[in-house]
Amino acid sequence: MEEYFSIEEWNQFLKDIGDSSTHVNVLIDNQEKASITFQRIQEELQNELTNNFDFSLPTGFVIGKFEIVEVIGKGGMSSVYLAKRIDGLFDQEVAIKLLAPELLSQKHKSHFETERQILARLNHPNISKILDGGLIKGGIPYLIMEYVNGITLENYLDSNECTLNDRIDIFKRICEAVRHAHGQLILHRDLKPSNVILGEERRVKLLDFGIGGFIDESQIGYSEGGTIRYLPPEHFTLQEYSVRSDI
Amino acid sequence: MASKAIRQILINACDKKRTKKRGENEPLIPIEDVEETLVFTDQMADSLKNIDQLLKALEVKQPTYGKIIECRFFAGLTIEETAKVVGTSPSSVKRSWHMARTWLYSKLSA
Repeated sequence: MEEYFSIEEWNQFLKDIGDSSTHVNVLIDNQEKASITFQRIQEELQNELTNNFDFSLPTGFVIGKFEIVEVIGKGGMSSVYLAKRIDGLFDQEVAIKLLAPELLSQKHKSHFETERQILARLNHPNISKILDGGLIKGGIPYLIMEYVNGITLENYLDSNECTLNDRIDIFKRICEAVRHAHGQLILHRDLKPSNVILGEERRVKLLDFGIGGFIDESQIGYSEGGTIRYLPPEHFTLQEYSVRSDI
Repeated sequence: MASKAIRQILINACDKKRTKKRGENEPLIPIEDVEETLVFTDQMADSLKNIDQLLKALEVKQPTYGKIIECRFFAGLTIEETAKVVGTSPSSVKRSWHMARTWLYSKLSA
């Protein structure tokens, strides 16, 4: 972006700021470098500020009966942590999902609340169970969920260990889980291989019903989330969501 | 004025040693503690302090230029937003910002 100002304008500037020692040609020569340098400094400042305020619950942070062990994952809307029980009653590992503190708007809180309600209604071996929920200091909502130790479907399918029979088997189990959800009148709306975990004994678990919605006869659903690549065609136009979309 | 406050916080943070760590069970940092928890690289701290010094000299003669740099650089406001704050036209802000940063650069690299 080339700015052009006349020598008169530059001289006027120097006069305005009372600088009689700087020569106008120096300024004119330095214009572009100045622009680039300041751009760079401002970007770096932005990065440093972002790094300073990057939010992660530290190891040892206590939520109810549990203590944070480590971060498992970070998404756009939330972070997930591995936590362990510390009340001495028994050993237990859970996953705690925390809404990103930058996102404390009503809309995001409602999404989170919706997820909590959805998961509470679902009781199926192939769907991750919600155990509890609440708010931590600062009003940030969290969900305590069953911890599933395993790999995502995405990674499993990419590995060489997956036979055709395996795939069919897994697909069947996903369908069962989805059918259960539909039975509860709930759409997942974000089914994709990274939202499915293969746990111990190859148990399939669906995660992240975060943007699911309730099916309502009169509802015209419009997409406010969902990963573009896996959205069925209905998502691209304003159409009624139906059970068919998940399949 | 918010941009003045932001500039003050950033500059103060450059000099302070990090005295406060985020508390054991405190996920959020109260605004009063931001200066003590912010940590810049030495390079960034130097750049910020130098710019601030030059800005102080500039402000004495021409407070408007000072305000524009404060808005554009420290607070990250757009040309339009800065124009509203300062009370001039966007084209005037554009010219002033361009000239002022060229001057700052020339002084910093002298």
